[in-house]
Amino acid sequence: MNRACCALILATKVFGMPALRDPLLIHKATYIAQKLFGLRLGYRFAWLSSGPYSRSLSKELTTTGIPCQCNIKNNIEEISAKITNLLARVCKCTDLSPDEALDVIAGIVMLSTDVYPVPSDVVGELKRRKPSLRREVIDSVVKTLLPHLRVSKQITR
Amino acid sequence: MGDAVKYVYDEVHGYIPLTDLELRVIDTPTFQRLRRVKQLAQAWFVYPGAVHTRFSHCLGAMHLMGCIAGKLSMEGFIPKDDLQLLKIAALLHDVGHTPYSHAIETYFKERFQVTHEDISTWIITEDPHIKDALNDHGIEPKEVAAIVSGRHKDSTYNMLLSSDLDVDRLDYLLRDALHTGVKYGLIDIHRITTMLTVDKEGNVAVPEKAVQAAESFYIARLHMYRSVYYHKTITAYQLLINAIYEEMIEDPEVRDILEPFTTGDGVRRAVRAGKIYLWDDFFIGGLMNYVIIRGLGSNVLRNLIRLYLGREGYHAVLDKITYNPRELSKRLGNALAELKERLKNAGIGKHDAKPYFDTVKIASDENCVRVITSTGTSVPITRFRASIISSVPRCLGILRIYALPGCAEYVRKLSVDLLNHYVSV
Repeated sequence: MNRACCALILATKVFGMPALRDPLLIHKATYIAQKLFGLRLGYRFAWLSSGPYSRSLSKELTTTGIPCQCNIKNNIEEISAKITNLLARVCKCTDLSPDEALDVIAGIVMLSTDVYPVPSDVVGELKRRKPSLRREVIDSVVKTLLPHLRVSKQITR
Repeated sequence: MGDAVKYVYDEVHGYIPLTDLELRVIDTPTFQRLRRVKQLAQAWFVYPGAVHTRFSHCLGAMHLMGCIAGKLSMEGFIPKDDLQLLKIAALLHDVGHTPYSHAIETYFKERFQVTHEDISTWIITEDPHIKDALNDHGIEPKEVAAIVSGRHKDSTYNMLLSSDLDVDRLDYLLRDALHTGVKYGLIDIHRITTMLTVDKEGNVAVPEKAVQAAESFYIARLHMYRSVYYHKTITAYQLLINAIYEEMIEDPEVRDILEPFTTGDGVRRAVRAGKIYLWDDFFIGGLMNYVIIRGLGSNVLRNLIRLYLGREGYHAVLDKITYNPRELSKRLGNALAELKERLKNAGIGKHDAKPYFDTVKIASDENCVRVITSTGTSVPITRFRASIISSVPRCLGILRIYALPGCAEYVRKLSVDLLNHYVSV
């Protein structure tokens, strides 16, 4: 089983084929799948200005394409449905598009659980990095994410 | 940041000033180990002068971080108080490299999912020599480790140390070009360090007028990939030392001598005990000699070592380079697995022949340097139409079949029969 195939299929199930043109969507969707929904692909993510980014995933995607040649035995269907559902909930309570919502979610999750030093004000930190985002929008996303963040911290532990 | 207490003369950058803390870290046995880990592992099999070490590269990366971060600090992008933190992170970024650099790291990556970045993080936060040196000077080891692993809360810090155009790559390109003699690996470092800046989102960027300096960096790197880092003979000896290390670990007569450097956990135990300084090129090289002198281990192990010491290792019996590795990978399908199976059935041992397929990113759309245009917007150099980098292929794929001299002709024929029609397009 090629793990980059899983990442690619996951992103295309959530965003459709346009995900193939935007590798950052694949990185963020994979990060969320690993952190919030326990998908075990073993990618490690760095914190860049564009959000979570995995060098290994980027390299492996250079040889991975659709249609994929491996047999899917992972719970990609279930996890992609969970991500789609989460994005729909976030989009509903904000004016964000699904890919913008994914960007904000990935930023909040990474800043609250994976970077060091942990920012004392995660919302403020994200706002500083993305000045065009309104603070109340980020606050709404955080509220939606709270139960997931608790699970994420357990996964991280 | 403290004043210089000592200067070291470096062959690439000239005199490098060291602060009290930097000198304290450098003087630990853990850091001194890097004097005994070659930067380019087996490159001296092809380029006799390529015997420089991780030690000088780490000093060079620290020096460049000082230059670049100092400039960014004057421009208001980085607090002055963080300059020492960033320099120490650059100094320690490769402190966890395994002996023979990437050659032996591959073994730990495949078996234990442990990379040199993991070992660097362990050393920075758990090695008593390094940890104490940092704590005594008010630098938090966890924060240094966060930058080294790309998880500092300030993404600019992560990108200065690890992105397309970072202090690590800037130093190793220059240093490796100098020591190998590969002239087209040279870059205009002064232009880059004086023009490098940060865009509004915190990305590493250059102004439009310095775009040629950034382009030359990408082109030089591509040349170095083909001429040095993925040179067919250098890769052959990396595969060979990897096979030797694997055989040593699997051989009950030799394994004990290698302990604790046989597993990821063992390496971490050595770090915690302050003993990682013993794990260097000399240790592995000496052990190879010892195995031969004492007649230890299996015939396979001793034969591999003799081939290595006599420079009679793998030959590339099939060698294909492509700028469209996805297409090649798709066409190859299961052909490599079939080749392995047929070699096994023909009685070719697992170390006698090695299929090799790897890809290299030439420029990454997601992580490349940005260009700040005359209108003030920032665009990735890969999408900046006025730059040649927008037209270069994004990645390189390398497919090779390696074989030891005794079976090279047989493996060549089989590989050509089986793979040639996949790779000839």
